[in-house]
Amino acid sequence: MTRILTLLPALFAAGLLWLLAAHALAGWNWPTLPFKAEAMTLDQIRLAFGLMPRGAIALVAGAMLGLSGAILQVVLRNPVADPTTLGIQSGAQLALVLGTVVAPGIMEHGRWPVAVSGAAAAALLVMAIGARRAFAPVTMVIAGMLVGMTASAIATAITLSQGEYLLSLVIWNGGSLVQQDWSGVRALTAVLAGGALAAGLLVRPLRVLSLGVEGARGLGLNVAAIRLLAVTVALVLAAAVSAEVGLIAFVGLAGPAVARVLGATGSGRLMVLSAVAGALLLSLSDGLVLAMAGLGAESFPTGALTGLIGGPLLIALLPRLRGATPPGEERAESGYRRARRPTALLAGLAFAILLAGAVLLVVGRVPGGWALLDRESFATFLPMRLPRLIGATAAGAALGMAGAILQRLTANPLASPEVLGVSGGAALGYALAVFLVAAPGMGTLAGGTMTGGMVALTVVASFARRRRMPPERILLAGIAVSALASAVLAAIMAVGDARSFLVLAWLSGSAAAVTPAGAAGLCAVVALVLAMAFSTRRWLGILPLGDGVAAGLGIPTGQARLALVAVSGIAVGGATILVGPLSFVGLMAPHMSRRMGLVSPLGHLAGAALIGGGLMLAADFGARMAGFPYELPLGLFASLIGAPWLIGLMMRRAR
Amino acid sequence: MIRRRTFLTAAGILLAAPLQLRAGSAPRLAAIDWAMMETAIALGHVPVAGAELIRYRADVKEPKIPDEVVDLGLRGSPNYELLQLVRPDLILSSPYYTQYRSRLETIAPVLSLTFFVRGEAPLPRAFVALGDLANAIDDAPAAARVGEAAEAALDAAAARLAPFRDRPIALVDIGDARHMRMFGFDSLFGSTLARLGLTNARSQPTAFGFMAPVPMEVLADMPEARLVVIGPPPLAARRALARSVLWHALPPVAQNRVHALPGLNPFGAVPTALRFAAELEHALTSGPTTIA
Amino acid sequence: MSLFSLDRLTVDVPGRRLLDGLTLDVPKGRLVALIGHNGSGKSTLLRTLARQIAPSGGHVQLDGQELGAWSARDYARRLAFMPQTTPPADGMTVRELVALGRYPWHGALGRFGAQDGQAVDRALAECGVAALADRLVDTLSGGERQRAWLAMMVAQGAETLLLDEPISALDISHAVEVMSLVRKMCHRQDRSAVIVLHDVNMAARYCDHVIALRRGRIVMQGDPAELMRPDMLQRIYGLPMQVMTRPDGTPVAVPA
Repeated sequence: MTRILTLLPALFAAGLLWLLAAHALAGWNWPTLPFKAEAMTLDQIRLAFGLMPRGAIALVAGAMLGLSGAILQVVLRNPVADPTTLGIQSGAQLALVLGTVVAPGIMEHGRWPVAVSGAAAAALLVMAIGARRAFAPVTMVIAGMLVGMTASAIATAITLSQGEYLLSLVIWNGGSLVQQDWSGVRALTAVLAGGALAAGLLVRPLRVLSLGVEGARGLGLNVAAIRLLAVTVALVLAAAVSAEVGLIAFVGLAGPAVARVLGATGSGRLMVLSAVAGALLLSLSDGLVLAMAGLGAESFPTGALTGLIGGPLLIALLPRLRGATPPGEERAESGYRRARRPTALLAGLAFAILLAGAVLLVVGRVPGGWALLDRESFATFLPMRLPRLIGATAAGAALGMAGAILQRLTANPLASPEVLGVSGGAALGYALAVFLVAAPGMGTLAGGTMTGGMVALTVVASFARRRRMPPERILLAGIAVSALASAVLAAIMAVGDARSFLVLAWLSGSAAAVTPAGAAGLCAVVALVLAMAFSTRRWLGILPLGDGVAAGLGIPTGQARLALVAVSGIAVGGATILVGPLSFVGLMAPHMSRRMGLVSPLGHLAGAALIGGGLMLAADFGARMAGFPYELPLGLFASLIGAPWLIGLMMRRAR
Repeated sequence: MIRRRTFLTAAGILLAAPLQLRAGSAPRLAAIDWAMMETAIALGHVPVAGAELIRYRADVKEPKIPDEVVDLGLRGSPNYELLQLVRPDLILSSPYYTQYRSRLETIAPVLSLTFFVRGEAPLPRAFVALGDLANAIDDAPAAARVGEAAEAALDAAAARLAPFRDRPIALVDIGDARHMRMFGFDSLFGSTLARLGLTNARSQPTAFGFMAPVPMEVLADMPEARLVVIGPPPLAARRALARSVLWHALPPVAQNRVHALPGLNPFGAVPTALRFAAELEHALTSGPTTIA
Repeated sequence: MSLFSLDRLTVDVPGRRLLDGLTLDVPKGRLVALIGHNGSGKSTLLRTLARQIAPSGGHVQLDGQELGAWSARDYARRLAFMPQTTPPADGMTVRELVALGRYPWHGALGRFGAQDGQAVDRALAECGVAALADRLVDTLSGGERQRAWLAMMVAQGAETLLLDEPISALDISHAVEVMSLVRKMCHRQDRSAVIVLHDVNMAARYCDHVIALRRGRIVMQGDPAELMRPDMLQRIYGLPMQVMTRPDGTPVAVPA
């Protein structure tokens, strides 16, 4: 219990920071209760209706997020579950953006119903995927991250399409705690009280559930009902915070983590301590923001600051996942047929892609209709269309192969470049190039992107090199690096200027900017990865059987893993410049290849490359034609094709 | 169906229509950047093509873009094939689009002018841009003519606005009930305000801000100011402001010194500056209003 | 001549000592059982011998050479290891699985030659899975699957087999089938095997030599007859045991 006293300095610091801000505002001339605006000076009003509710809402919202994270972690038995990693907050974000843009009338009645239904939709999806896979922690987090990334990509694209006139959306994304009356505090306090009551009632069933599903069922617990209830409580808590103050990432993760360090063991104490820790954490973060503002710095959204804490924390928490995965629950789909003549199948695929490429080279849209190029226009348009088609195909092929390698390496069917962290690192590199270099050219941007991808990769690879690092932990390291990258990105954007739009636009990806040199470079990357895949084909065959077998057969597992991670990193880094950080092609192509019956490592990889190329070619065509003359973002278009297919796939039973 | 004929016809329309607009040898301009587009229109050279016209027509409104102008798609990702079909003589861009300048240059020469630099007033740059663009298309007289007219209009507006020099003006754009964007001297509006001889209540540069909006209570530190709200606040914000104790206690609100302007493009050029001046004059002279 | 010689071998994990200064010689050419209670360190010892775990202290030699001094491929040619739970072999046929055993011979890039093919055929035949060669591994029954994995180890050409509880998930008839096969493989082809076993009767019946661990230390080593005594079993399992004699003269232990 004495360890809990270590929270006192944090409490003291947060209080002190707030008092400093209050003193700077109104001296010690504080208003007396009850607050009557007519009798107060302006500074007293700012204190009573601005700073005081702000301090209160930091405590309340922090407690809600901490409690929400603790409930999710207990019910899912997953130490990295929280509203951010499970995609709940992104779901709320997308719903609010859609509401603002499509039906502003709905938002009139308050943001709450909209945010809660968005969060519920995302949670439902993630839970449905998890239910098919025994709520295996790694799978849950991967599914949550994928759902979350898709939701925010769509939200970003919509925000962009609204130009800069959606200031309110942008404010919301930043997560600001600025208050102007007590209504927010009152509303959130009510939800917190309800949530705490519900959590109190759930403590005992959750304790039984912590024995595991079979054990809990044996004791007569309705597992499904308890899970549903608990997740609903967590979800409402998180969505209410989202609706009121915006996107505040990772407090739900940090709260329980701090609580565990302080020695909270039982689910009841974990929840209480998590709420306390969450409240202090958010207060402290907001105190820092206040202090920065007091020192004359530009205002910085508190949510962006907590995001910066979250990424490193997730990395630090990884070792806790030891043995959290029940064996055999995160396994590849099996029971597919085997192709009788894989070589003929691959040749057919290649031919189909060449044919499609040739057709797309001469077909296009012009204002007023579709058109085939005549000989004269062909010469004019070839230098424009050919690099683009080749670039898109090569990017798709690179992503497909990277995905296949990662899925074999980790023996996890959900592994994909999106969760390796390379995409996130590349995005961060791009943003830094945009902000640090005046008027950056294509070369600078490509350099920044590559460097960012490589740095992220180095971090992930340092995890991969550790002895006895279970492969799924590499995925988690990738997720953590992704989270950190996106938090830093959000912070940069938060203090950035109009260039932020440039970064946002790139985040959704476009193949239009590809130059002949860029396309050639991507082809070289594909060739390199193919060559590497060929020389490591035996590793790729053996590694899915696990470290024990691989090491027993004399494979240097550490080096093999490092080499394969590096290969996938290069492939993803190259493709990301063109496609943006999200496309799902690296997840879809290996699966499709596998379902076509391509089983041998080389066949699987070659199939993934061809299918990935084909998918990206199709996505590029769709992206250019669907909104002509407006070119939709390529990566986003590919994700929109891929997401339904993937959700369908993940909903199938793993066995 | 897809036919070669369709293609040729469509291309023919594209090529012919703008020629009818401006018979003679006027250069065919294609504008990627909106400030450049405004500048070209101010000079009387309506581009044959422009980027993101749907949004432009909805947001910027003035100066009007004729229906014949071809929409090139997103500013961040223009449709190169369409741009090629339009056969521009000159592409108008800005440093925001440097990353694909080399692509544009394979289609036509590119004129890239800088309007916005952090910490610098953009209005003088917008005037310089008039001259630079006019020189690039061999129509220097147009720049002189337009430039003089604009300076004269601003001078006249400044004279009429002289009675309002008694108080500083806070230029804001309300995001939600708690946050706003404040335009400093390095915004087009702030820079135009200074040109009109009025004082900006904000001394720091604009947080041109993407996500870093300013808390509403900053206005409490400007008790003397007139509050000029550019663009209508979102409905939800208006509703929340109506209930807000803090908002009603802010001196400009409490003392009824709030003026509303219609939406204007913050990244515009000389035409937007003139429109801002006119709207400001109208708003100030017609008296304060209630926002919420 | 001993297969492995251990000298004060110690294995630690943070906060716990799994193996505490083991010094012993594991004989060559015999079927060696590793037994002990749960957490006694028997699996840890096996995995240390398989180089899946690095020792924290002490020395281990295989054929007179330090474990760490062997190259990965030489070690794999010399010694084959089967983990406790064999992973799902997604979409692989039995023949493909067995062919993976040739990796230490052809390496990452070498050609899969005629010799490799013959070794696979011999392994399939020896383990009685030739008829199943084109079946998918994941569709086999537990005993068949275990035999397929044994065939992979045979194809590996190693003289030493390390098996981590190979029969713990099998029903009694499959367990007998697998243990008979392992015994045959050792005695006919002059291989050595070290097998972690749960079942003391299985160890006594099929193995030539027994090493018993308790809390990370050696309690006994010797032949099965030495093991099958109530006092020895009590020392190993901390539980009174009774040893009965079956009609054919072999002993059976049951809890008293």
